[in-house]
Amino acid sequence: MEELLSYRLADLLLFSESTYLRQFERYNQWLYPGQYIAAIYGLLVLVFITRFNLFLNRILFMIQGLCWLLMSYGFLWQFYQSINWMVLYFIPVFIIQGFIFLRLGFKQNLILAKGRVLFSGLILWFLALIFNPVLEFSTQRNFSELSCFLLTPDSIAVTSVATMMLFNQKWLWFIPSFSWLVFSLLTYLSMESYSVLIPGMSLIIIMIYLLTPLNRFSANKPTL
Amino acid sequence: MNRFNASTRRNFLKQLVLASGILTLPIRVQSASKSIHTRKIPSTGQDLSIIGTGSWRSFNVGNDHQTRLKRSEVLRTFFEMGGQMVDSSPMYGSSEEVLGFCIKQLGSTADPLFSATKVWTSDTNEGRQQIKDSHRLWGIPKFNLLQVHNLVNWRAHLDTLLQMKADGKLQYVGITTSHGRRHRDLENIIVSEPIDFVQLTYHMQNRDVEDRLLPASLEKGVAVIANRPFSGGDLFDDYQRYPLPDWVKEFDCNNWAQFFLKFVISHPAITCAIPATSRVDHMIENMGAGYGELPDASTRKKMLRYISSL
Repeated sequence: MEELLSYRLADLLLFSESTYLRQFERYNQWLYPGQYIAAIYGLLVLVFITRFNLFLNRILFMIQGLCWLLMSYGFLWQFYQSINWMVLYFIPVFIIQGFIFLRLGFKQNLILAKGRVLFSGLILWFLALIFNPVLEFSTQRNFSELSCFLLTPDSIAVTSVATMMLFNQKWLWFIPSFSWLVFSLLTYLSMESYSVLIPGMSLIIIMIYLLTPLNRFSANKPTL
Repeated sequence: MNRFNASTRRNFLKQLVLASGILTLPIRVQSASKSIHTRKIPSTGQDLSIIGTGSWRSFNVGNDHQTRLKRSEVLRTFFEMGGQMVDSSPMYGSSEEVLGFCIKQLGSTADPLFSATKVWTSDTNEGRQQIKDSHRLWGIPKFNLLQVHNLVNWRAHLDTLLQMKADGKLQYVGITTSHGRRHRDLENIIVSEPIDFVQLTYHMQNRDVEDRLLPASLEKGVAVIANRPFSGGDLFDDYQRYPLPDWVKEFDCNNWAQFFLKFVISHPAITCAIPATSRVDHMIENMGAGYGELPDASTRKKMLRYISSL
């Protein structure tokens, strides 16, 4: 036990930050021009979500479900697992999260939250869409290495949690997203990278949402 | 906070060294490949170049073909400057597979290769399979050195390795630790087991091994490999912003990498140091430590006093 505790987080990281960023560069090449389509989509949701009807709400869930499945194959399997064997255990987690979204997309009562809950969800959406790439670019990631909206793990995990809040969904359905955010937080902590802010801030917002009566301010009851 | 940012001086040096290195490499290799310092492996008397290379993180680049080719160039520089020992482990992700790719790319340039890897599993049978996997990944029929990694299930694995050596399937047997862990166990093994090599952490900020392990290794005739000679890069973070004193020229030291490495390899018990790098310019700096004068005992003390003063 004493020996285990003598290990620093950095000792458990098997790859350099430059190698990690290289996976994003390769993934972006593989994904092109999907990242631009995803960014436009994200912007449209941010601006128009309050005008969405039930059909569009369902489409939103379906798209996110498909994105989780795409990433389990695209980013995790094709690229990231080749430098980090632990990621193999997240592939089924991503698939499960993807199917949860697809299943939720068939629900009848996908009603947008209101008030502070809506605001919290939109903040997280903004974090993933705008703040994340700006933070990455300002901390010396090259443009080709930026993690694109919705189609990289951190981004979709944050938008998934945002969706949970926006539509008052049960938090249990989003345990896969939480687990990824914790994993990502630990990865960036071990690299001593500023990118730790994204999973870090997201997890703080999630904890506030879950532990405070914030969800009581929504006009809609959380659904099962 | 972002360590990726730390090396302004090294980036500047990189431009100079890379330019001069590329222009002069063939000339330097011709004169230098015969003059890199070597140490004898005590159990056989074989000469081994005093600077080797590790592969933790630096060669774990996965299935990225383009980056694998870049690592091949790093390894080419290593061999052209007289390097021999390449150390890896199944624990290092895809490093063994990437090394195998690089060795195949380099062909006869990767000669003479002193291949060193490890067994890292708590299961004895899995250890045998792991050794077979390592052979396949490296693409070599026989390892020079196999080591029990971090003393995991060391008794059983050591028996396996000693049997392989007796059968002629392996040249040397060793055992490793790092970060200063389990030194007492390691000392007992050095004294009681017929191992050829021990690998441990030794650098200017961690000299614990000088008290017992290095003397024990010298006495028992066990070769010593020094891992993490830069403490995973921490030594550069701590010191490279300061200037090197003029007296380092006395032992042909041109940069901080050579300052740290020459301190390590100047200890009489050290057979080989294995810094890891993913860059050609850093490899040139590292290998440069294997040439020229080495600091003597009084200079070593002076080096320690200098960094203590910073």
